[in-house]
Amino acid sequence: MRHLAAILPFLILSLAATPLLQAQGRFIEKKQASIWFGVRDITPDSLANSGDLDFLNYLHSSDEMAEYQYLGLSAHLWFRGNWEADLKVGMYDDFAPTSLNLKAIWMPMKYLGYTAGFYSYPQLLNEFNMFHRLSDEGFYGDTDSNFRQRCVHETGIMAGLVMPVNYRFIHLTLYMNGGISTLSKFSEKVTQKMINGNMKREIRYSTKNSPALFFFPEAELGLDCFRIGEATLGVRGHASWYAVKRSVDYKRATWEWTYDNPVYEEVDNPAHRFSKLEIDAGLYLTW
Amino acid sequence: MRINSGRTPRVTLLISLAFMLRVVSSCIDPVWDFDFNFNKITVGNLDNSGIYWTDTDDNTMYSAAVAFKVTISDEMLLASGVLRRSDAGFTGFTPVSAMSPEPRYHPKHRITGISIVTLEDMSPGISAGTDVTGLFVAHLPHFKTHDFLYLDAEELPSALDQEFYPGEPSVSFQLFCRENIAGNAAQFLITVTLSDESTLSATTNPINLVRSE
Repeated sequence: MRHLAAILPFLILSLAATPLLQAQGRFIEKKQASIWFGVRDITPDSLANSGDLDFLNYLHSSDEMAEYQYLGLSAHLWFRGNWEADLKVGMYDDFAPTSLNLKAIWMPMKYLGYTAGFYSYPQLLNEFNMFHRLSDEGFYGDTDSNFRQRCVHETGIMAGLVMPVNYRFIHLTLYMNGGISTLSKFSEKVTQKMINGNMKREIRYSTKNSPALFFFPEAELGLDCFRIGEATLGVRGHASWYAVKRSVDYKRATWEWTYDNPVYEEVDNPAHRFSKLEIDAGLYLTW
Repeated sequence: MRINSGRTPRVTLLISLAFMLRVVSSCIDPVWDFDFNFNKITVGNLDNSGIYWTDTDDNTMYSAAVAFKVTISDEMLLASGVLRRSDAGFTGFTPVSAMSPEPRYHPKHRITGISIVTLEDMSPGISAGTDVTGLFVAHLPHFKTHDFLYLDAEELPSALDQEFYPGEPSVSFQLFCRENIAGNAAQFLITVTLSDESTLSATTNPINLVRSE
């Protein structure tokens, strides 16, 4: 159901692009549909451990290769009156359309326009329980032996400039987006037991909203290759960079021995910079 | 018109009657309710040095991990074997028995209290003979199974007291000492009080205590 809700705006607007709705033909001047495959690389700050768990130290990242691969679909619609819509949906190997990049574009000038839209993508927090395993001496830091992993979503609204350049069969578009985003809130539980002792402890984390400004430039290059009747088939490439500096603060409740008398604490963590680079390529059909 | 009163219709009628009787009787809930008395208490040692406790016969424990398993039961009923469900195969199965998979044991006298008295000095402030129930926490299987932490021992009587006990006429729980006991030995007297004011008591084995490195 969650996936359906996410893809619904894309489906609605894609439907509008179909020739089944003839009335739209007078409203939509041109349509483009694309399919592409891409890679996503996350580069987070990793700060020294303090006395408190900092979830952003456990953003999934590796030095060897891009952390995520995704398949994407997009639609670009050119309306009358210099308005455009650009809709991109990406999915990991679970085929859940969880990466969204939806923009409305107004082009008052040939080479300069304005955008406003919505952006969201998922990423993983892995093995955050290692903080407790390493720092809580004398305890089994987490009695849960499973691989601890959580999916969190960066979600934000954005606005910016767009600069399209079209020369014969070459179409280059630059976007300079910025906005405000937040990491999805979540709750986690860590259970601990004293080594060679009876004492048990349970720690529950509930994160807070973490709004932060982000910068999100994008570049798109399209090359028309073939004409098939009224349609044009081409290849496309797209690159983007997302940068943000945020902290994940939370409320922590700790129980010892029994569920009586918990200790509640508010924890403010330092802000981390992290960035995301995406590169993808594919095919498009314009008609 | 002549009514056929031959052998075949009569046999068919008899078989049909037998079948109907079987259908009716199979829909009657069999008796799975038994009364019993708590008349036996046993105490065993637990090794709680790891993440999960295990039963052990070893009388050596870490001083911060003193733990016992207590079982109270109806010794007579357990010994008699009447509580064992017969494995009667196909004919013993009825629609209702499928819905009542476990017998239910109703205690004649309910559990009203539990006390723990130390038989050794636990620290300079806790001498032998002191009621140390408040220094223990407990775990009761199948009670709030989603919970990781313990129950206070004072909460045990109300948690243990049930209208009936499924499966067998006994109930077990684990006791864990909160104290890091200062001495080198520990032994406790555990007493369960029932609603008729009778008590069941058991003494733990003498425990040798070692310190964690």
